Amino acid sequence: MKDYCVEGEDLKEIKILIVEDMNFTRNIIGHCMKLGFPSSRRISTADGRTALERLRNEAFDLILCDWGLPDISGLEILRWVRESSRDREIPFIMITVIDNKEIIMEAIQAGVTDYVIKPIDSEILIIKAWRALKNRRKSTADSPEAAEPILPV
Amino acid sequence: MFDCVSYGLFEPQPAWLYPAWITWIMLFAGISLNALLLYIVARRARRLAHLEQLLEDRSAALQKSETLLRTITENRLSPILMATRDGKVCFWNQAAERLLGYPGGEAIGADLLSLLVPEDRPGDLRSHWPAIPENEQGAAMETVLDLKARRKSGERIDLELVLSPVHLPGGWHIFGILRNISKHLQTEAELREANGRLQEAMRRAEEANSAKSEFVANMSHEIRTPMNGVIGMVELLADTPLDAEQHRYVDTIRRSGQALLVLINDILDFSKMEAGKLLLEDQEFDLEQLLVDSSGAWALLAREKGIRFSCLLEEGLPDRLRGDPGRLRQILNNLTGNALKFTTEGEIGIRIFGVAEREKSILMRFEVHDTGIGIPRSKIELLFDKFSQADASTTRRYGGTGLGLAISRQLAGLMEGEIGVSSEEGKGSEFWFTAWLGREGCRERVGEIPAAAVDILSAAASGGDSSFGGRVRQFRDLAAFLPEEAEAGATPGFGEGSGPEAKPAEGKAASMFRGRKSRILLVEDNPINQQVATGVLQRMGLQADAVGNGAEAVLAVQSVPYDLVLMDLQMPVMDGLEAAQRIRNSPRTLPDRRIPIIAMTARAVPGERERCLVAGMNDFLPKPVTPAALAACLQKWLLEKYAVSPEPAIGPAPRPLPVLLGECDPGVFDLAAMRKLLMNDEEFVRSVLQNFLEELPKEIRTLGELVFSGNCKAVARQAHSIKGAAGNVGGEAMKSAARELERAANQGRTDALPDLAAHLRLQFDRLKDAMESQYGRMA
Repeated sequence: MKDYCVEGEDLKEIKILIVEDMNFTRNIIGHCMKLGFPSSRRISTADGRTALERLRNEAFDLILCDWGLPDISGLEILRWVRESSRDREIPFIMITVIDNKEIIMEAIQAGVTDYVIKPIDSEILIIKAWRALKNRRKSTADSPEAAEPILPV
Repeated sequence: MFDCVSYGLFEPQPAWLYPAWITWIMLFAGISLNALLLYIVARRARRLAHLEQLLEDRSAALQKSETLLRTITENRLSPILMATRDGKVCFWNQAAERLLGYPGGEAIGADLLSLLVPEDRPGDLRSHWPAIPENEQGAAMETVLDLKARRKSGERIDLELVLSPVHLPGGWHIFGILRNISKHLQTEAELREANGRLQEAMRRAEEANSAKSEFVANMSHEIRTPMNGVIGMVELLADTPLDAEQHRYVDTIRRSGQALLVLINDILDFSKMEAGKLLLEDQEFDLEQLLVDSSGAWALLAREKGIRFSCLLEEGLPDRLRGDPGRLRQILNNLTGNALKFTTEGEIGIRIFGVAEREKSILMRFEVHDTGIGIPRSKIELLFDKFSQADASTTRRYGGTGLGLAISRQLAGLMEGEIGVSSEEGKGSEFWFTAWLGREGCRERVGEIPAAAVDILSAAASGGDSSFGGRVRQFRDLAAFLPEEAEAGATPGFGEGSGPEAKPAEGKAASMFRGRKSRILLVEDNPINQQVATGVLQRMGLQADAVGNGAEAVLAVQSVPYDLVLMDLQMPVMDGLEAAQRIRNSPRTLPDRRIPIIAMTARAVPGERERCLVAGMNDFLPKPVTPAALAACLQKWLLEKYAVSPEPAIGPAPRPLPVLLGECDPGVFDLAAMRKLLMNDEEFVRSVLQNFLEELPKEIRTLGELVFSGNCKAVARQAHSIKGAAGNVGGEAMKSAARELERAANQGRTDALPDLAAHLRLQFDRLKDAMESQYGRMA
């Protein structure tokens, strides 16, 4: 596989939820995840309501969510996730346009794991996803190590 | 008196003692009595006569006042009535009789209410009875009632009834005056109706007028949209291999199309002006830049006609002014366009200078003179009117709507200026206009703004409207900046101006920086801008590192000894202003805490520059940053820092090449940027391109429907998504088209949306062409 395939033993068969309303962008994100995590299962939804429905019914390992969805905002999904008991710790990466610092600050306060700005740099997206998953594994393994900073690589 | 007289008479000796004298005494007494009686009667009679006289006088006065009263009450015009407190009529004059049809005999004693038969308030007339004070206390109040009543004949009548309480010997009475207001009401109703009809007519006229304006505006849009398509396609066609003849045809189509667009814009402007919807923008701009940009095209046209051309700008004017540069350019274009149109030989000269100053603004005068056909004196008056050209035959020979000067006059007026012309037939004309423009200070002073601000303030304190009169003006010819062969297009984006004449500066800069090993930190969140800027810096012989936000910049500055920071203002996580403050206030010992920080921003927000300076930045570069401006700025700050400038006086950086006829979009498709975003994975790039070409037409179609529906919010959202998608494939031109559309939609400028959407579509088509030519037909 390609050299940027960052999959490790512990990242096999992960389930990724991709929430993005625009087909084109969703395809890019999906493709990135496929490149980065070839054996992952990727579930895509085009709107927030469907995303929430999926989240209610099954467990995911990673959520990649566009911030400007037509129905429910990414922030609302994030808050729902952070308030639910099962998915409280799930890595949640926001995908947003650079325009607005306040939005990012808001997301950080609501507990977003990381953010990726548009136009999406596939490498950054993959690495951030990988790091988010890795940190998650670490913290679930009760490692006292603090999570790595979320500054872009 | 009686006793006194008797006693006085008989006092010496009582007469009754002597009976013989009794008869005499009796007689005398009788006579006395008689006289007395007579006297009394006479007195009485006199008093009676006096009383009678008095009585007569009184009754005459009474009669007089009664006549007066009767004359008043019995007059035939004012119906008067009186009623007792419980509503029984006790007085009824002739006029009342005539008005209501009841003779006095019939009315008196009847109930007032049943006489008037008020229809509209049958029961409550009495509740409107004037307030009568009980026990003589409180005020007696008048009331005025409007009633719909009936005459004895049953005929309806509108009455006004004024009731006032009067106190008469029999107690309180109600005194009433009636007035027939039927006619009055009828007139009023008629008036109201006429008024309503008038208003309706007015409303319809206004509606028709605004419908007309709207129609004109819509039509203009409708024409503009396909015209943009035609011109865009012709431009693409011009880039394909063509023989000389085809080239000529294409060129003619392009020129005609552009002429048509100008015309349509004129009509659109004019319809906006008529509707009072034309508003000026207020933004900071660089007058010299504007002139250099515009005069390029004029110089080219002049050269084609064999006319000399110069564009003189007074030296020492503020570099940055506030106003509406687009409209300013429009007036100048119009005046210069006319000069070009009507001049066949000789020269055209433009001269711009300041004529007066206020505290925060400057009155600029723009002159355009030519050696053209001139204008007859008699026609000058008409020149600035709507739809008029000096001569109807001019229209046939030279074309034009005749709207240009009328629009220019309006625009100059909006800028608090004037417009005028002096001309001699056959010799030429001089058109001029003035405009008040805001002053934004000089770029040279940026480093020491507080001092400059003091200068301006003290100048203002010493007299508001100081004139420029008497000053010797020095001018610089901007047209001289133009290269001889100005046909080549420029390159936009960050590197907008990596055109031919930006190179000398770069070259000079390069030779200046090479070997110095200066290290620059670029703080910029946009990866494409990052890439271009680092490229430009490296070409200049500088080492450049890039970080994506202010927080990273603060860390970077603390760990690496940079020589200068180029800081974008709007960034995620931490913006440029905060980062600059942190760097300046950092407690850590940096290699150099006074490192020059240069702000870069696209925003023309008032006070932005001051905010940058307050935050501790040293200078300010407006975006898009041209290599020339960047080089000039770096020279200044890097060399100042080391104070080893080999050439002490560095002239002003040459201006980037003006954009000539038609748009140039080298940023249409930036394959390198796209590859970078996709990890240079060729397979991935190909699949994304294919996906883009499949998906985006649908998105653009959706966008078109949204624009058609006029839903600004949805349009903004969709444009936003498209912007992101375009950004991901290096479609810079398309991205900025989407950004424009998003901005317009957010501002609710519905009338601008169709145009901008059409432009976006055009940019997509171009992007698609560029992609397909690079990757072969994919879809």
